[in-house]
Amino acid sequence: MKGKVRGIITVFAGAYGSGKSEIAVNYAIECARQNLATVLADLDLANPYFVSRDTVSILEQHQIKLLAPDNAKAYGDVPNLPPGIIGILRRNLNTVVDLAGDKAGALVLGYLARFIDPLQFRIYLVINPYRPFSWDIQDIADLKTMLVSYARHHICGIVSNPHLVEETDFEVIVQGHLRVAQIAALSGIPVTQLTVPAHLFEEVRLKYGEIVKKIDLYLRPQWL
Amino acid sequence: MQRVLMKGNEAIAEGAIRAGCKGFFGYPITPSSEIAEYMARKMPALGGVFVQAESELAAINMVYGGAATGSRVMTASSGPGISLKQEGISFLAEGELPCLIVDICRGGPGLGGIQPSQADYFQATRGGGHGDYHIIVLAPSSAQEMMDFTMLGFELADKHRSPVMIMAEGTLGNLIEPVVLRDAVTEFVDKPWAITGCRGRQPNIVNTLHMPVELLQTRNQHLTKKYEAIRSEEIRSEEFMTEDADLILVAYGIMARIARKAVINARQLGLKTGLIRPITLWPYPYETLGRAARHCKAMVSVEISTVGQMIEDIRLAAEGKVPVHYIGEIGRTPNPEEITQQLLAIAEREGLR
Repeated sequence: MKGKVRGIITVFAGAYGSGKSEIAVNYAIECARQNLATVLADLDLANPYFVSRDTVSILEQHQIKLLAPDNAKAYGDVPNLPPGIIGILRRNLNTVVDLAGDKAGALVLGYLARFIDPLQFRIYLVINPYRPFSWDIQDIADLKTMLVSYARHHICGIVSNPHLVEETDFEVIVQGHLRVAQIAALSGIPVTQLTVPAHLFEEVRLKYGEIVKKIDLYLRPQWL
Repeated sequence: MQRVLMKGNEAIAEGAIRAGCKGFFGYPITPSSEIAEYMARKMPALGGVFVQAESELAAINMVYGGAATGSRVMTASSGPGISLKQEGISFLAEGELPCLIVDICRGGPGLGGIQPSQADYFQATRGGGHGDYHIIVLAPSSAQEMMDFTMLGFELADKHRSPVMIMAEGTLGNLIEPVVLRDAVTEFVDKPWAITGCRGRQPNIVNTLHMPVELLQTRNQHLTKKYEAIRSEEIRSEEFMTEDADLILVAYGIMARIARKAVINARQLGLKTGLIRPITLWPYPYETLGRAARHCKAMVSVEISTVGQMIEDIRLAAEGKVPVHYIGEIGRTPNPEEITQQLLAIAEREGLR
């Protein structure tokens, strides 16, 4: 842990496969690079395949504290919150939360919201329009309504994360982002970031400007 | 050609819908649950049936009922649930009811853990249920194949009037990859045996009780002939760089992808390796392996299992011509570098380098 405590609670919520875990890890690393004491809270209660807690060694390198279910409980096949989350939220640390964008995630958010000062609270919705149930505007609208009503806090922005993993190219990003922009316009939430892999960053930034963020993939297995 | 990003489990569910599946009966279990979730979300709007049954036993018997009406139906589970379904699978085999059974494997025995595994191989290929029967077992190795083999599975099930199993590791069930959505199936085979209401014809009966000895024998002979036909028509496998290989890896499912990379790595280090990937686990590609055993110096089974299960089929195929080694562990998916290191050690022992 390092640096001066600032204490913003940043939640990345998204359906599984939206890329929220990669984005949460990238964001946590970016915070750490700015010398902010940072905690990554893995509250993804879905099953423990390809989750942000898998990146523990990278997080350690950046002196990011990982808050996640311990090993035995992680494989317990029942949703569980890591002990200590309330303590962390109350300690005013800079905290990045990786949260499932479904009912389970919304319930967790609702429970935790009471411990968070609204002024410190930022919720972002991560959308990859190539995922099932993320193409339809109604599906996203339902998700937004659920998250907002449980968290009793507005969603600050949409992170547009259009990709087909290894098959992502410029056109995939453009077509996908177009869809996310439509969803964003209809839901009244601004697109605050467009996340792209490093090799496409320059090309995409020329088209979309400042909202474009480069992300490194930490969770994707190397053998694919 | 529409590309989407899907979990292996979702690709199975979407593939089933595109294959005309009209009924899903199951009981959720990690790491297979997304199949049930997807079907629950999609089936009602498509005029299909989704039932979360009270148990795995109930679910597999609902599959029996649904299949008997001639509809394409399925269930999905993981090892512990598939164990519970075994009685029903034996009944489905004898009732000659086409259906799809998906096993997204987790570690066992017992409740085990929810980590990836291939240790349901014996159960899938030997039949955990009673009596003289086989089911066709397909082992996909990508999210795309999860969709494609699901569609193929329904086709083979109808063609041979047999249950078909998709067997995949928890890793593949949860791995997210680009998938090209296939066109929906629009033509289906006739099922004159199906229970569809017998107006204007004699009643059809799907029954597995055969008291007279002659009837029992006739039924078993009939099934045996069918299994011979499946063996001659449906064996599927892939070979990669086996022609000049000294050391041939045999791996299926997601391990075949990892083993393929290990083959490339080992070749770069001067070790002549190759890969045989069984796609049908039953019927097993014994002949392909047997041919390879005649020209290679050793074979290696690579599995996500500690005991080693498929290795027994490799030994049967090799007929003692070459030694068969084993690389395997459970609970995680090894990476290609780890496999390569173990191959080098085996090559050392065999005097191949």
